[in-house]
Amino acid sequence: MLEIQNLSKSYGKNLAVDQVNFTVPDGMVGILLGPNGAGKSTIIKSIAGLLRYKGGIGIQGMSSKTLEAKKLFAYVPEIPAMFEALTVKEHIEFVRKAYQSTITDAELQALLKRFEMEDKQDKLGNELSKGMMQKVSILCALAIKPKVILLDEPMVGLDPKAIKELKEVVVELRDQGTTILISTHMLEMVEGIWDVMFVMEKGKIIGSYTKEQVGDKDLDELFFEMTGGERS
Amino acid sequence: MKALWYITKRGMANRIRKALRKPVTYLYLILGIFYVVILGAGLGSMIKDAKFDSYYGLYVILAIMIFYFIPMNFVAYMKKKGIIFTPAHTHFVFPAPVEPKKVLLYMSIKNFLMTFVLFFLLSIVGVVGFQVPFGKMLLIFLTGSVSNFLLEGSLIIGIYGKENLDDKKSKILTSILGVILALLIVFIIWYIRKNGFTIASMKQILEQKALLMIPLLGWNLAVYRLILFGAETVTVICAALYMIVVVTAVILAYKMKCSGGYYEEAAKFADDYVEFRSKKKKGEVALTIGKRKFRKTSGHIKGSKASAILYRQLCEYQKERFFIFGYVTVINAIVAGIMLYVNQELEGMHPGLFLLGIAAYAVLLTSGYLGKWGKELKNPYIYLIPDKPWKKMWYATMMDHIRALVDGSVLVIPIGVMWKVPIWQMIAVILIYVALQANKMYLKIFADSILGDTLGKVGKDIMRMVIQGSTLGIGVLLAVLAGIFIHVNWVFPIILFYCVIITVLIAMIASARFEVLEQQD
Repeated sequence: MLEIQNLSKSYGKNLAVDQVNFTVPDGMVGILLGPNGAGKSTIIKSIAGLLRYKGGIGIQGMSSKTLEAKKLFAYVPEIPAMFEALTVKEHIEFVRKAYQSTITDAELQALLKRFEMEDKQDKLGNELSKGMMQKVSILCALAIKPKVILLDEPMVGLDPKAIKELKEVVVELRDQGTTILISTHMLEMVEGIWDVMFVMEKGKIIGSYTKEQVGDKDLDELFFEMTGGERS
Repeated sequence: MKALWYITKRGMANRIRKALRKPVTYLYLILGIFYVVILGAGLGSMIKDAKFDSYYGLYVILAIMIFYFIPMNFVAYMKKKGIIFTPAHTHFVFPAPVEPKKVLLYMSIKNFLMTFVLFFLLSIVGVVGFQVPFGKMLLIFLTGSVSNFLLEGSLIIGIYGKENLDDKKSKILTSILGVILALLIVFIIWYIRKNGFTIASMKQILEQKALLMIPLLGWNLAVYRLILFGAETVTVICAALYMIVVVTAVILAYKMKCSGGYYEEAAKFADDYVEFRSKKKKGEVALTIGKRKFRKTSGHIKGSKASAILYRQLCEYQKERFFIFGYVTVINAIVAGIMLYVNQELEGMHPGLFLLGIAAYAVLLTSGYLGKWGKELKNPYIYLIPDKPWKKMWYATMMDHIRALVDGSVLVIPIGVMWKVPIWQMIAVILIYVALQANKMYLKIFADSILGDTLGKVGKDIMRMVIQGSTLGIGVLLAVLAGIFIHVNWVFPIILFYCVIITVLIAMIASARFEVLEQQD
């Protein structure tokens, strides 16, 4: 479970996130939506522990700042960044060691095969394309076997096959009881896999819905209704 | 910590393996060894010649190290710029279940390693060059590397890890240190001016007991003094104070709570550092790490077609802190200032020609202008404006000609007035300066357009220098001949005319770069 309680964050005098509260229960896919500058990235970075903030963030009932909570948490940033001199295999190996992950070699090879990265294992970080970096980032997150996973614009740069695999992985993780939070602008990509949505504007949550509440309504129609924008 | 050690170990192994595959590595290695041997031999004889080959020589080096490195590192840590974080750390290390304090210590390995290597090399120099007994030198090595590791590590944890150390407090602490050091420098300058810059006077400064009483820095020096010269009351007290500081710092750092609040600044530093490195790679002048600040202006962009490029650049320059003035202005002002200060009489020399020589040398000395267009051409979509290529180039580089005019005037006018150079000659020298800078600039575009990325930055620079040297060399030769056989005053118009002709020719060829806007990384 991922709990955000009274989260506020300011950059100087600019209040980027104002008293935000939301919860994504176990085995659910939450999506964080909002126009540019709404404060999504600030929330994501706060959850990942990359920002100072006011309020509380809980991962499986523990403060997100504790090492125990961090062990259960995986993060896929919007822009992946690799260690230039480490191979794909070594990036994953670092994650296995750092998180003391229980993932087996066979499971790992299956994941690499699934994302078509088997033959790229010995490539160095500075030899990878942006799409490949995104795949490594996703693979590293999955290698943790997390209880809570945070994906920030995970589909950007991925090829259609990888997008399909990622969507399937998200559904599988949900079925295994993992909590998932996805921040994205690509509404059509999360259509059909989300359970609970949070719409942000000007640093605040302006609405949250469950799949049942929305029914058959189109996701982007709902989004534009709430944010006051127009459908393209 | 095991995981962090893993990435360090693997990263180093991969880098070495990759380097060993390149023949140039072996060349650099041979050159490096050769350089160290030559430097070592040279330093050794220099130490002997200066009669510096005693314990005291080592003591002086240690004092300089302490008074230079400790404050420098402290200020860097205070500004949160002392440890190099990369975006990969933000991605993989900061969210990982690793104690933030351990991350800090791991990230400082490079700093510690450098101190260790420095003290190791110093130990060899100490035993061989300064005849310090092995036992004493070993003690200095251990005290130096271990106490530095402990103190610096604690300092890093204290500064980075302390959640409530805000910018204001950091600035106050940095300022206090700055004032202490400034006072010390003023004292040393005053002392040297009074007693002369001799080994004896340097020795006298280091013998000042007050020096050992300066908190931390002096106390650290006292430890080495104690080892090298034996016990004295002040030395023992100050050395003991240093040890107390080290132990206290370690205890405080160990007990301090740190939940990783510094990751915010570290992540920001990582992004800025990537930009800093990429600028340096492209050969741009990158003086500081971090975002540049711009002034607010209410200007709007005038012009149409290619001339809009000029007005856009003007708008951008208005937002710069120092408008169009850059490092070339500073260098020219310094050169002019030095010439005025020296106020050398030109016995039998033609002042105008001498001024021309200084201006030409200043062009040679500085790397020239790689104005806004230089960066923009790396990603040239904004030059897709529907206009003639030569017009685009002319308007894109016009601001740099104006900058050259201003910078040339800063250099030429003060010196010209001092030497009573006729006004027409001063104007000619300024115009030649502008033409030479333009020549250099257009040759850069020319080299870019014909070489692309085949020879790299160094290759392009060499080619540019060869072309510039050979074309302008002919002009200089013509001017010298005219000066000898007709009249010395003919030198100015001939060089100016020749420079302008050559520059226009090169510019015409270079304008092709604005026609085929191939992207270059």
